[in-house]
Amino acid sequence: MPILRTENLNKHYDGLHVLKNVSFSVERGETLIILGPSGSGKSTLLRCLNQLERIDGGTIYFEERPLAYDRRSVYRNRRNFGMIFQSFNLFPQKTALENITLGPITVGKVQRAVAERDALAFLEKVKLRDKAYTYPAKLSGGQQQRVAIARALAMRPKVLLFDEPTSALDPETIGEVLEVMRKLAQEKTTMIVVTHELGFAREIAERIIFMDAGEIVEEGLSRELLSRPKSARLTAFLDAVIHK
Amino acid sequence: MENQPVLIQYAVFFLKAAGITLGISILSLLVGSIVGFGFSLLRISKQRVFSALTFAYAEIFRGTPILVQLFLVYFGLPIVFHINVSAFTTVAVSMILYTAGYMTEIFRAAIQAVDRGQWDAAYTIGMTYTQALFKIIVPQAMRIAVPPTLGQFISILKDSSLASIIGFMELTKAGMAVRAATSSTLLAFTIVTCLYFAICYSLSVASWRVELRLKKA
Amino acid sequence: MTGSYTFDFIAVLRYWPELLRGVWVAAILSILTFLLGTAFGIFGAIGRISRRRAVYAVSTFYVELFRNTPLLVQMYIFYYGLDALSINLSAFTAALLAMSLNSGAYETEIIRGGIIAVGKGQLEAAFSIGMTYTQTLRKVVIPYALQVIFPPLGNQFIGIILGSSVASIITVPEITYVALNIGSRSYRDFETFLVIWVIYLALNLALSALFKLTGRIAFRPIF
Repeated sequence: MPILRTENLNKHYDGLHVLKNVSFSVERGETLIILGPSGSGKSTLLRCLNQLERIDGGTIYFEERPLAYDRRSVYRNRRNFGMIFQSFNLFPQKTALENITLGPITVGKVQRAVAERDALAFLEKVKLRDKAYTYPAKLSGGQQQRVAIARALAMRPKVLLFDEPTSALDPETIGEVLEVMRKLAQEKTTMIVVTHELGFAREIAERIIFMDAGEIVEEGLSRELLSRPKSARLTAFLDAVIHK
Repeated sequence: MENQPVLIQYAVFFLKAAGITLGISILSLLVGSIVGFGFSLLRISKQRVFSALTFAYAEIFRGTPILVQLFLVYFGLPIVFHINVSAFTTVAVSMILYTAGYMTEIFRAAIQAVDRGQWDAAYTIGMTYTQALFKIIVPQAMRIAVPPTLGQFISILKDSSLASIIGFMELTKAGMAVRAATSSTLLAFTIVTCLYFAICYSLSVASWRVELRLKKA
Repeated sequence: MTGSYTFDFIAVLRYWPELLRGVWVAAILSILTFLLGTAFGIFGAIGRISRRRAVYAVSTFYVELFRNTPLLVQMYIFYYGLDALSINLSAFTAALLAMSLNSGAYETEIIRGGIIAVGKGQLEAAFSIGMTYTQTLRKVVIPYALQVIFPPLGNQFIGIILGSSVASIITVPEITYVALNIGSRSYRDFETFLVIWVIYLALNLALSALFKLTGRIAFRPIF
């Protein structure tokens, strides 16, 4: 049973049809990458999964149960997901450690000592144990993003959503974030990643979905899709990205 | 220089009056801010009724002359509610009402100025609207609200001069009283002007410094 | 506690000619204040961006003095203060001077903001395509600066109208003065002030809408 499945998702925004009958599924432990040009709707799709955005048509199934849109259900569904943002969105007035423990303490009702112990373990995992008491302003982009990953992991989500995690990073720091993501993929964390990084996609993803103008154009195993694109649009996209 | 003894004699009187001006202004700012903060939360509510009512409140109290509001309270309290109140209460009520109007808008703008991504991040770690608002958004909004609040405080200090009209003894009334008692109009007005200037200008300078420091962080 | 109080607005509205006259006086006072204030503002802005120390100091002193002291005190100085120096100004003139100098201080900063908003980039772009100084001023600086200062100046005018109520204290027969007068004669002070509260609010809303509309028409982006 796929852990997550969508059926004919449709969404309109300001008169534009931003998601057109989007249907796909993700298996437990899989790393799925969503590629596509800007405006293709891939970020919107991601945000619909954890109900940051509403849909106008179709259904989303989590563990084969359709998502409900009343307040309680939305809050509960969000706990299944962790999200990592392009602009990190760390809480500026809290240290790295506090960013990570805030969720467990406030929402998870975990005791502070336990939360801190776990948070330090997560920081260790992303190789930032020594920055536990540093504020985001003093961290590099790559470091902030790794703290953001630890923050998401601390809530023990079943699925991790990455919305262009490396797009706002300097080239030097992209590597350290991809390193963490590689490790997570190897540990069979269920991940859906929206990205431009073709190299990473090729290496990590089992399956790739290519979206353009709100619909899924091609879908398949990463190796095949990237080396033998079937559609003209994907070919054009790959050409454009490779020659950037 | 026969005015010298007058100056020294009334110095304490003027300083006390300046203190009252500061006092009533601080009181208005504090209470007005509390009310204004509460209203700002209603103002951003998805419930149209709350949003519209607090919007109307802010527009009315910011968009009409303070003097008129003062007279409304002055005439209204005794006539309509059959309460006889002191000048202080009249002034306090009026100034709190209008400060709340301004603070509603200041806090609303500050809350909405916080990066949207902060809401997203708070939601994705499982927070409810209320948790996100009070634990993540409001603390950041408070920082953003400091410079305009300081500016508003300076305005309140100047507007408190209108309280002299209904007989409340603050700095302006002190000036008028001394003028009447000593017939040295220019001296009285000069002292009053200097005192207002000293207080307001130093606060302005302080406000610029605070704004610079907040921008750096 | 609320007891019985019968509102009587008719008693107030009977005085509508006087109220209208009050609005008229307030309007004239406000418009003249705005015109004079803008003149002061232009000089002040030029002074505030000047490199000459003396000019900069004087204009800065002017701005800070009038922005950090209450309008009421400024009016008292022009009405009672000058009187003590044997300069007898009429209430209207004293109010006009105080209000226009006061507004001028704020308008200085608004206009200065408009000049700064144009920024070096646009100037350099204009010069590099061969425009002269005057042409640049006319075709690039002034149109853009006008667009930037239009909204705050609109708000400033509304602020002037609301501030004109203070002139009532030195017996200028504008709206608030008329209200005090009517109130004491009809013994309906509260209703009178409720009525002028609405009048001021209506003036505010009407002018705001008017300025927004004018701004949209005058500064419609040309594609």
